[in-house]
Amino acid sequence: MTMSKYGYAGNILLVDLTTSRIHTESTYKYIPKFLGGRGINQWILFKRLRSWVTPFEPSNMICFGAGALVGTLVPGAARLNIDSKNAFTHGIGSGSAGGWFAMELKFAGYDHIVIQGKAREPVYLSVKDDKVALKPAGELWGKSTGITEKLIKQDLGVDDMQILSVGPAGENMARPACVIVSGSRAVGRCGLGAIMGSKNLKAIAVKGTKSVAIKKPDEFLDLVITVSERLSALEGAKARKEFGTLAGSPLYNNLSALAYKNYEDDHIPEEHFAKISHEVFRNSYEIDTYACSACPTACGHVYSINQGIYAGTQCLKAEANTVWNFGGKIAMDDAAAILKAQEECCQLGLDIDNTSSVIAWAIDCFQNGIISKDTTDGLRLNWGDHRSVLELIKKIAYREGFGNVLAEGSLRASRIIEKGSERYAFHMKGQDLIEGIRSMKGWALGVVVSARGGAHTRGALATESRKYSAEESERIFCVKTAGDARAYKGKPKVVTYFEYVHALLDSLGVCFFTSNWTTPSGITPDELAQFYSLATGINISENELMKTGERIHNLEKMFNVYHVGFTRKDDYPPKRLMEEPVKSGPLKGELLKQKNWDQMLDEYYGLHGWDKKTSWPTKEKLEELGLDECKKRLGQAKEAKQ
Amino acid sequence: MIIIKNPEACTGCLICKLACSFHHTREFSRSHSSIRVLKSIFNSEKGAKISITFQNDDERPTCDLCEGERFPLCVSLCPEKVLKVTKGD
Repeated sequence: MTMSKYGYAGNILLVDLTTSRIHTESTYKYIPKFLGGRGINQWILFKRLRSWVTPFEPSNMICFGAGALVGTLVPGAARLNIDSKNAFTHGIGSGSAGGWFAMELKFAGYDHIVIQGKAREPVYLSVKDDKVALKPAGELWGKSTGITEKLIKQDLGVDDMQILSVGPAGENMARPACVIVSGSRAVGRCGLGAIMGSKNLKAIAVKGTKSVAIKKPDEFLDLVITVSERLSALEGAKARKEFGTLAGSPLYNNLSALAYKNYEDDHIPEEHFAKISHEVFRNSYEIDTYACSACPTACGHVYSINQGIYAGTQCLKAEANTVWNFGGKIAMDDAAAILKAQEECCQLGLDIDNTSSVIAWAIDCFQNGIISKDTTDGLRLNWGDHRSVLELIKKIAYREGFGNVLAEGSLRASRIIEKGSERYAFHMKGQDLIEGIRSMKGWALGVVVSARGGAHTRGALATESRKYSAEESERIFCVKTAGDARAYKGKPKVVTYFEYVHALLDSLGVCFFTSNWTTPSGITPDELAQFYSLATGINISENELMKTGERIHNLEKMFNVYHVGFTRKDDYPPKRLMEEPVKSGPLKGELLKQKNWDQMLDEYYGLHGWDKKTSWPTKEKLEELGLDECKKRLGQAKEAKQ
Repeated sequence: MIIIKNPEACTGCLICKLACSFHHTREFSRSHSSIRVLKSIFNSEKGAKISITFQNDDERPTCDLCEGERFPLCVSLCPEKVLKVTKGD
């Protein structure tokens, strides 16, 4: 056990909803081995969950973790990680959000909240420093996330509390349900909102008056100033401040990397894209900007619609994904309607990625004559038809009619509908895929092998969309091809690097966008090690920190091995993306070739020290990382497979 | 003194508030800061309401213009240049 009264709050809050027992344990028994945030969440889940527990059972657990550097002035250190068993894949469920909740949690004296069991009636958890209580939430049940926030603040008589909540979608255990943090930031993917709903847990409200202490304050401040000055001068940061993450959409469309009409293509036609560009959102709808705690970039943008059928809508956040999903996958070309869809999802507590993907699947099935109005409750489903999309969003949240099928995600829905509809379900390990992956090979590898079931928040590269030069690539990654979208060669090395870096960022609570993910000038692992050492007094080198990232990455891999038994065959892209090339855009003709993919996987597993045939970590690798418990479970997984 | 030059540009990042608490205590907190920032993303008002405690206040420490620091931390770290040091009354 490493003791440090610095950096960490020092406590983990444990709440059993079945018995209403609330107690704490020390954070220190988990550090520095699992660091914080995602790392500690994942370790707690790995240690305590058995493979036969299903996501919506009371025995499942859900962990909320503020990163180790949250509450300080490290730029972008605002992230909260939420982890549980994945409602889609039954492997790891993991997501992260900014806002101010994680900071408030640390000021209340907790690094993590771990929830298990199921409350008899709906409840919410109130945390005011040491005063922790479960409160009745019967009157909140059925309410939107925005109204839930307001009512809890009224109930507790505290206006500046930080709240995370689920909407009707979570209550109804719609698998695409997410958790909404600080009113507008979504912890999407993996059905984490549905898991909160399955426990009758509507919300968590936090208010803290304590402090985060720093071991070497003056040196820490100097490093904050140096890094902040460098970040503020970066072009990418300026663009995100001006447009939010929407600024990234043209980069992807210009590389034929945005799924269009459920992967009919990976490029949004130019005349369509012009109507939903980042400039349109800023010039026509933006009214304010906001930043998460300690972030100099302010990528949060508030939009207001003043005319047309959606007049009166205020949308608190739109991401690049908003455009990829509703503008690309569903082919909506009306920016106001896209904002309306985004806001509906936010208020109902639906993750825009999984929601839009299953709707795109339904439209594709309808267009191909697999389903008709008889199945869709009388709705005609056409590409870009925002009225029917908004209807479906509501139906999914309330599991009403056809929405009850869609609330299962596209793979499960296709198994209900049958009639060849699985052809239109694009998923990874059972969770819907949102990224256009045929053109950029490193982006594709990172998305496809991700242990959480798709998604670009593990090893997917941003070096291709940012077109790193060969020299820059060589200098940072010792391969020349990081910036070359079409190249397969060298990509496993870069993906592996970012898998470790992202494990660190999620565990330290630092945003990807202030890190070196999109630019070499972002915060580097060396600087993360310095920040951590100065803050906590636990000296850690860059190499030791990267090893910690590797440990956390292997831990998640082992969760999937033990709980589901995913193997190499689960690390291949959907078949159609290996057979049907991109039809238009600058990288027209690109697809993912079987032979090249095989080679990439061989190299990727080799770099990790994993068995190339099964994709599973070896005993030796787990020993090297000090993961003895994982080694034991590896043996059990092998026995189960025989 | 420190003046609030353009509160409409405030993004609510709380860097000033955290920096202020750091000056007073060498720790980070929301409560031991001379600065209050009220930013609501739910209303249509741009920016935030900001106030600084310059006189004795039971709840909050008084702004001492970062005595002992190389420069006033809230002013120098604010990414939007919302705060400014003036030499006037």
